[in-house]
Amino acid sequence: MKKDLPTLIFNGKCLSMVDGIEYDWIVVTDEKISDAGSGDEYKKYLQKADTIIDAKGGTVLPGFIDSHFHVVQAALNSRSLDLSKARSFRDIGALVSEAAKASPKKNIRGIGLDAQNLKEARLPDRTVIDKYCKDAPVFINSVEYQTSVLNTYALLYYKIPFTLEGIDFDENQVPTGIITHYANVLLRENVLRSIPNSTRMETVNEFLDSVVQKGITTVNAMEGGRLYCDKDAEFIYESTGKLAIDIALFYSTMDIMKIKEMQLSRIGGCLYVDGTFGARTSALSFEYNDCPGNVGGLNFTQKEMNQFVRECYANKLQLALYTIGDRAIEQALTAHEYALDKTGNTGLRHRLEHVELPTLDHIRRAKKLGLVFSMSPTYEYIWGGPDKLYHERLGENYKRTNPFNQIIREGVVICGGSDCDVTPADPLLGIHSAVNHPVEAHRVSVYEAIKMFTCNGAYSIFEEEKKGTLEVGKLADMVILDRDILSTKANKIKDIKVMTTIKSGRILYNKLS
Amino acid sequence: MLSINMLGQVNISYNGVSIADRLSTKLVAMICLLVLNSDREMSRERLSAYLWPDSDEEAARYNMRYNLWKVKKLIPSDAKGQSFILVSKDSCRINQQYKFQCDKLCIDSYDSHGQKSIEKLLQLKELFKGDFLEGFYLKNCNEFNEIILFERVVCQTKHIEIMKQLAQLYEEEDRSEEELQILHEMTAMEPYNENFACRILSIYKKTGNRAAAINYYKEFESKLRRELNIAPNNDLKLLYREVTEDPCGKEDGYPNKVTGEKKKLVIKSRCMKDVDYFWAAEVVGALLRDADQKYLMELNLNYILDLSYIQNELLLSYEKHVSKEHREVGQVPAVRIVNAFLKFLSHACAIYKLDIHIDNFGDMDSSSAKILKHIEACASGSIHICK
Repeated sequence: MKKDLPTLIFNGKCLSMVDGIEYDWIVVTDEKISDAGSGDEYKKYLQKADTIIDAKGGTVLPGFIDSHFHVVQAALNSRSLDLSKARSFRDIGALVSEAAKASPKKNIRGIGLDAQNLKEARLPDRTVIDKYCKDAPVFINSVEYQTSVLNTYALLYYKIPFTLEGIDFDENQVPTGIITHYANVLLRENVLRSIPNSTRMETVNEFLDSVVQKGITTVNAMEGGRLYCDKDAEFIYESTGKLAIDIALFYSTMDIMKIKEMQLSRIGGCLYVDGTFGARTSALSFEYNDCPGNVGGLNFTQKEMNQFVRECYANKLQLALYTIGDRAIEQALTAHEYALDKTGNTGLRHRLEHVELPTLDHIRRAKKLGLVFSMSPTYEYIWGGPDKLYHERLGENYKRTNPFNQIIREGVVICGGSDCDVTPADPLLGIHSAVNHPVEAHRVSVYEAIKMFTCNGAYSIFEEEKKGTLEVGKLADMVILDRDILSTKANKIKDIKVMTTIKSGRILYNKLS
Repeated sequence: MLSINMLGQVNISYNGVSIADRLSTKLVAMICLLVLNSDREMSRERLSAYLWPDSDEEAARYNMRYNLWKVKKLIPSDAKGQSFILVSKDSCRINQQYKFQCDKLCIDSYDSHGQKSIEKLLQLKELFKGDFLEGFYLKNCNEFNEIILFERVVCQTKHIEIMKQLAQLYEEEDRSEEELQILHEMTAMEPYNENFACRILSIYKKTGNRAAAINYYKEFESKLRRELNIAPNNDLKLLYREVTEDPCGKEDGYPNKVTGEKKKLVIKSRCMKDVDYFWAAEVVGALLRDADQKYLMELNLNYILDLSYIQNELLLSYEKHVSKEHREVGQVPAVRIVNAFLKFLSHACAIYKLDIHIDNFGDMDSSSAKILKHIEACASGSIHICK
């Protein structure tokens, strides 16, 4: 809706993210930035402005762009029972009982359960869950969604194909409720498909409120594909323009025809070239430190990968491939080199998602290919450094993960994402993590870290002409912080609060008077 | 007659009239337990433990008495005066003299190693109207719920076994359509089963339904990729390659063993006396105009390139639909042009019935005339030449 009177933001430290230019004030008219400047010139707008926001010396930035985000699953999970902190069957039971009490006879979906954290060192079976809930279906997802645990009610309630691979049986040939492999894929698909889109819309809207409070105005939604649900991707596709913030859909499918029919310009997102460090399935060039003999695995042959990447090039689709380990990165780069050689198509800004363990050679080849690295700095905050997961899995190779500084120095563009809800939807935590990388040599400046979540994010989805910087004529996607981020101590960046979020000129969140 | 259906929504009827709505869940459960143990007596104590595990002894005994009385009341004696359930002081059981029908007992009588006819297997297949005791769950009756789980596993396993045997018999009798139907139903139950997919592909190959084979493989491959992130196994890939490289299961000549419905295509062509291969090029051009170009481009690239020597439209179509990358087309020997043309026609004939009209036959160039002679000698049912 058109608004004649402008909004004035003054007394701010407005980082345009263009050539280090800063402003003191910005004026927004309708959905765009209409003026910006320094000193007292803003006063001419005091009488005209409909809304005046005093930034109180806080930093004003372009709205954050989160480049790797599972919108629908994160939203659904936000309403699920979080079992990530459970340390025993008793803990699980207490949480399940509480949920059952709070919403009697309603389905309970638990998420984030990690057998490694449990003192029993295994997942509970149906008889354990039955002790705490017998009159509603309980469907628990392991932290990586590879295993589901059901109580007896749920085993009978959901259509379980007991003849499929992945059903665990006890000595009496009765299913234990632990479901893996093919059966788990089908179960998840059935359960997720059964969620009506009205519920998706309600849940996503509610969840996006919390996202907006973190200053995010655009997300790259990685939807559909294995372990998720194609219905999520279709929902996001149909919801374009109906949600509070901009959503750029990355449909994790290999069905190029479908993507063409949907007239999407990009494909992939979570197309798994390999797995995760956590599950020791990322493809490494060395053995896992805590699992000798295991080097992880690739999900494609080089030939298959070459063929698919070439088809993406031929169809001029931007491709985002999920790569974690160095062998996966190698395979993806080889396929890109092959496809470029065969088609000659350039300028598509293909992306590697996560790309956690690149070598210097990988980085240089990626630069030549014009690839963008879509990375999640918060991984380092949670799992990086000595005595944490990466050290446990990779040994001394933990010092090689996420070398942001080296990548930037070599000229590869990094866009930042949270991989929400694997890590929290919080770009300031992402910026903090990139600036405070546990390995000093990989740390980047605050300015470079901000670029990951603003202008670089826009570049990675071909939207740099309309967003990602604070410039006259650009969309008024902005965030106001409670202090000056550039003069904040590095170890305090995560404590910075978002005070205001503006999306296309509309104030979606405001804590400033 | 009494009829008890435990597969799908439970239904108990007498002389075609449902009495299920007059039976409590526990009563239905009790009948099911007795039927599942119809060849033996069950102690009242055991039944109580299944159905009223939390009740004290007296309450459980009362519940048992009441429900047995209720069965007697609702399920009449048969013509010979026999009661459905025989009750004694400590136990009870189904009266084996009482005539009744039960889907679960029929399924249990199935022996996968025994001799079976298609008719018998079809009858059994019809019994699977859903899961065992669908929608059933008794809170706190852990042992009973475990029986449901166990029987569901048994029934699903038998269901698949019956379908497999049926498919096998259809194959032996060369009833491909029915075999295909059964295999598709099996795939719906086990969507990632590559053995089933292999058999489906083999049938399409055998019956010359190449387009269906290609579509099916592509869909299956995409499903595996999308949902499991794996590629089809080598057997399946190999079979697919055979299908794509040899559409009719024959190296030479034209398809004559095609049962799939083919679309009729009328091709109008002209001749030019002094221009080599003019008529052949006309036919290729007309096919590119009127047939499914994407399908035509599935022909081996080497043939396409050879044939493009006489019809450049072919190369343009390949670049449009497949790739701009291909080797240079240099001078092509006559024998390769002829061979490529025949392969191209054979490929088209896998899905089309061609009606080729030749306008000025008398002006046909000599190379095309020789090709035409060869085609007529092959006497394919899929090509009709009208001069």
